[in-house]
Amino acid sequence: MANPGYGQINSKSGNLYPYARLADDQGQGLAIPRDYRSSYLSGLGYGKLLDWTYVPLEDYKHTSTENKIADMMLNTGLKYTLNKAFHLDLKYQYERQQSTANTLQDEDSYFARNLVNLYSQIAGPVASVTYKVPPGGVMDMSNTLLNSHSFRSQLNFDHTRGKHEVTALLGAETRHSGSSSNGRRTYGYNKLTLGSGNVDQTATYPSLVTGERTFIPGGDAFYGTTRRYISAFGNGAYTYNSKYTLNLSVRRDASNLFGVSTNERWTPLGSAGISWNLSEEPFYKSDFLPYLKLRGTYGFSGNSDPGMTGVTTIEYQNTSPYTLMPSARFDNYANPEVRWETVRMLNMGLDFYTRNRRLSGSLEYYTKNGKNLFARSPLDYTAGIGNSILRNVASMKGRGVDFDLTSLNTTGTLRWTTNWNLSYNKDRIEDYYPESLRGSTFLQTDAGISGVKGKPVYSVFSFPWAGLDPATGDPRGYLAGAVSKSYNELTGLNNLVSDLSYHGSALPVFFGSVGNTLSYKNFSLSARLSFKANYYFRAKSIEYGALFASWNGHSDYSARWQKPGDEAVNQIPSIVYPAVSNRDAFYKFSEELVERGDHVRLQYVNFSYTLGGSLLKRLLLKDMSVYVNLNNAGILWRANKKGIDPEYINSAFNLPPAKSVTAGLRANF
Amino acid sequence: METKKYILTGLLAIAITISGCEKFLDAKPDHKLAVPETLTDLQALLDNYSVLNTSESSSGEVSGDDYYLTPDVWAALASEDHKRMHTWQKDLLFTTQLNDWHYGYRRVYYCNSVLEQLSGAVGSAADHQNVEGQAFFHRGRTFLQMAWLWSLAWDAKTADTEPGIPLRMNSDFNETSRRASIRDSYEQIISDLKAAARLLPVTSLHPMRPSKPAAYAMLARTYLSMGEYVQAGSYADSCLRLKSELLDYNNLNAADTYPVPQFNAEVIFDSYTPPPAPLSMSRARITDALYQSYAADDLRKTIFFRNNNNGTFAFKGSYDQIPLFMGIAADEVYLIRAECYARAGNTVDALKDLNVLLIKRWKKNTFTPLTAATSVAALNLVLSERRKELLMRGLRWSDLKRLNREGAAISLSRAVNNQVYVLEPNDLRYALPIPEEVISLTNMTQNRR
Repeated sequence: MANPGYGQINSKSGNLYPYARLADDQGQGLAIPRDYRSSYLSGLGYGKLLDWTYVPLEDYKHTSTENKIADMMLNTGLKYTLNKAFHLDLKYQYERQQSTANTLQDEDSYFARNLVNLYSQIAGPVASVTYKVPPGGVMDMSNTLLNSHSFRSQLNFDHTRGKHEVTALLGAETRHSGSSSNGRRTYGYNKLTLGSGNVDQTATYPSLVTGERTFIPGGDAFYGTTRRYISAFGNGAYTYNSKYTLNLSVRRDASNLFGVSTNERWTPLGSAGISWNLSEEPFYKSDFLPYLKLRGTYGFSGNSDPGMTGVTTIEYQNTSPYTLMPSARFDNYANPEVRWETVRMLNMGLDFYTRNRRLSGSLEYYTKNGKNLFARSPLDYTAGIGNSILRNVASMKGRGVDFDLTSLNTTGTLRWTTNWNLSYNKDRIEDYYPESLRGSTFLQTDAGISGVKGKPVYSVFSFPWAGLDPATGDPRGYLAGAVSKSYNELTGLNNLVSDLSYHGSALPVFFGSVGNTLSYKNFSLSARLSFKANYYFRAKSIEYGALFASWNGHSDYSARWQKPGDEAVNQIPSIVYPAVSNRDAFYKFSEELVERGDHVRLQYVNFSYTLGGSLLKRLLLKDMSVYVNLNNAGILWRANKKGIDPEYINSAFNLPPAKSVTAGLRANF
Repeated sequence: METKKYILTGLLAIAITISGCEKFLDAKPDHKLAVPETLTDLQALLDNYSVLNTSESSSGEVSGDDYYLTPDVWAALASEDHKRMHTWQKDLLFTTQLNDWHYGYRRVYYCNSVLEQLSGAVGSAADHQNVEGQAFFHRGRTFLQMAWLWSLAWDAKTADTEPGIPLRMNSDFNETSRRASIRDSYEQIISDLKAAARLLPVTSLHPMRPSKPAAYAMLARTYLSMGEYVQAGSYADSCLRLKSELLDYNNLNAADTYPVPQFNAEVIFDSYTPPPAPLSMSRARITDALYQSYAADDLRKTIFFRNNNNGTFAFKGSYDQIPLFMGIAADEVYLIRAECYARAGNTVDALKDLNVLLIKRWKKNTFTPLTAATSVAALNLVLSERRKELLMRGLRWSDLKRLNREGAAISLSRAVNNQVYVLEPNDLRYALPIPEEVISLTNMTQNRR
């Protein structure tokens, strides 16, 4: 029974309408229309219906949910030393979780009243009401039982003889997790007397409002899932003279993907590497850098997408209310032309520290080679399965540098350490298989693989912007070099990717963070700043079509073009009614709304005090500390002038998570 | 020696862990999933009513002349596609993917998948035939809907050269779509429906499932739209021999919001479309001349129409209540047979069929059986009753094409957006533009408009 949150009060047609009042001047909750116009409802039912008003500030009090979870976990293991070199490790875990959830929307809830009224039948002004849904609460109950087993066996080998050192392990793991759940609904529920009513779900009844005959919604449902995983893995390392190491690692994983042949279920992962502990060499003499290690690894991984089924599968749905027989839909379409997505990676790096570890860190350079990358690509929907399908669409190359450095700035009572992480990552499309070069494919709300050779894998494109029409506030673009307002052509199929403006990568090319920790006696203070740079995102703005159709607004509305001259201040198109969908679409994907994503953020500040020894002993504690944390502290600097947090551009209502301060006490017995 | 034993013990433990993994991994992740292989699975796919029955094409009705929109209602339509379709624009009528092309070919995919899996499916011979018949029926009737919308009217002279519709005959979605000729399109429709008529049982479990009379009626509908009146009449007759019950409108209550009950005795096969915005009760107004053509004692005048109390009327006579009925009912089959009799010069039987229907439509004891001096007069009576009985059933667009091709010279006009739009008889725009997105992915021939 929590207060409804922002965006949780809505109506049949979508969002809450603009300027809706939830409370009067005295703070009393007001009714708002939800499914039907209030003037319409007041004329129905000869005054014999239940109250049909919806008061959001009251209604949430009439819904209660009770969740119960009983969880049991059992862990057992066996470590068996076979001889000096071999030992066997066996582990088994069992978990059983039973949960129930009961949601009661009581007789005063809008939900229950609405259903009762909707299925009421009244023959005339003197007739009495026949209820098809009994008045009272609606109780939805669900039960879930989860059982999981996992078993792991591992054979370890550890052997050193002279200058030779060999470590190896071979293992396997299996996991099974099964769940079954069911749900049911009871109408006419009375929490005081535990009374309940029956409804007829074999026949349709007319809605009191529209006259349309429908079944009374039922709540019976059954679900069952089984998830199974198997992994087999092996690892081996040989070191000579503590200087040269050879590494080999292989791993295969499989799960019970449905409709996938056994061979395709296994995804391989393997790597081979060498490292050289340079600082152990007799010729190496450096007081400044006592530890230096060079290493290189070559790795391979393959990935089959769950969408890549070997056979077409179906999913059973509810019984058809007409034939009263089961009905099914297609779940996954077998595509014989799909191949594995593969990634090959080469890493080269060095690890080091200086005397007394005042500076320690690593530097790594890598290249990445991806082939047959999966992405949804447009499909001729004459085929009958929708307008896109997961296919191998592209190959890519990437390279990057990761640098990690920790410095011990002061030691002693006041200890100050700083840690830097810096990364550079750049990739580009090498090949793109789909032939479509339609601009609209490259302009999507969720950035997919963009597919222009030589450009980043995830790129941001937009319609070139010619500014607002100073006379009308209409957005304008360019068509064959000339300023144009022909939105159908501007956004149409003849608009190719070459007609779009290219901005840059949708993912940060540079990113990193720096953290500082200061400790003095038992006090400790730490904070971390992070940054992301050199990338772009699409800001949201007003879409008039969505505003008119579902009251989906945006604050840019208040800054829209209203009179000549406004275009000098803001470039937000004027309102037109009826809305022109391609005018909205043109503005939505225009240059005007693409922003740089670069920003600096304060991630957290943490202050803690750890209790000293003698007090702990008296309290019979192992350790204890008091702390204050500041989380989601927010952005310190951003490149965009609109005050948008680019990290949360796709979150609900565009809102970053709220700043939060937590204080607490942590103790271990 | 000892070491070997240890290693073997360890390897054995690992082997046990992953042994039998093939079977272990064969468990279904979600118990509701299945590979369609039994007749039950295939029937379940065909009982997916939202794909097979309740997503019928409405573009023909939106383009038709049973209704009109006032200029402000037209201006306030949220979808630009609807605005353009209502005014017969040359292109961009299907810019969003959830359109009639998508719904139609999705149904075809279901049918093709069922037909492909049938050979290996176990079950009784009768069930096997029934499922196969249903798949043929739905594919045939869907191709017919597509052909009515996206190709020009049937004309034996040009049927080989004019483009028809893509005939997707299997579930391979990597295959490129190509348009067949109009002749090949109609031949496929007829062959599918004939197979359905041969395989389907005389009665089905529910009107949402096709039956033998439904297949006959669909063949009659197909031949009628081709102007093959002998064949149309004979299939209508085959249907009526198996199912001919009519609903007596005297038993309905015109005051009801939706007076005609769903799945009533007259329905041979039920399918519908939720009304698209331009056809919703609050927007679409029935063409004045059409409303005026009903006599005062004709019950349809009050059962079919709601008075908007401003001199205009809305349609409330759908056999599916709010959604628009696009299935086949016995009244349509009577009208097909009557028309075919009249065209064959058989005035007596044409009027007999017409009067059997109309007596159930008029107020008790007010109906005087119609008479006609010539078969041409009889035909005109049938055509006028066809218009009055079958409005808002997805049939008008095809009728306009067929009748205009035969010289009826019906031209349509719309007065919205401060201008008058006209659709001349036999205009190329009677074949709707194929969705541009589909054209750009397949390089199919677009309709000349």
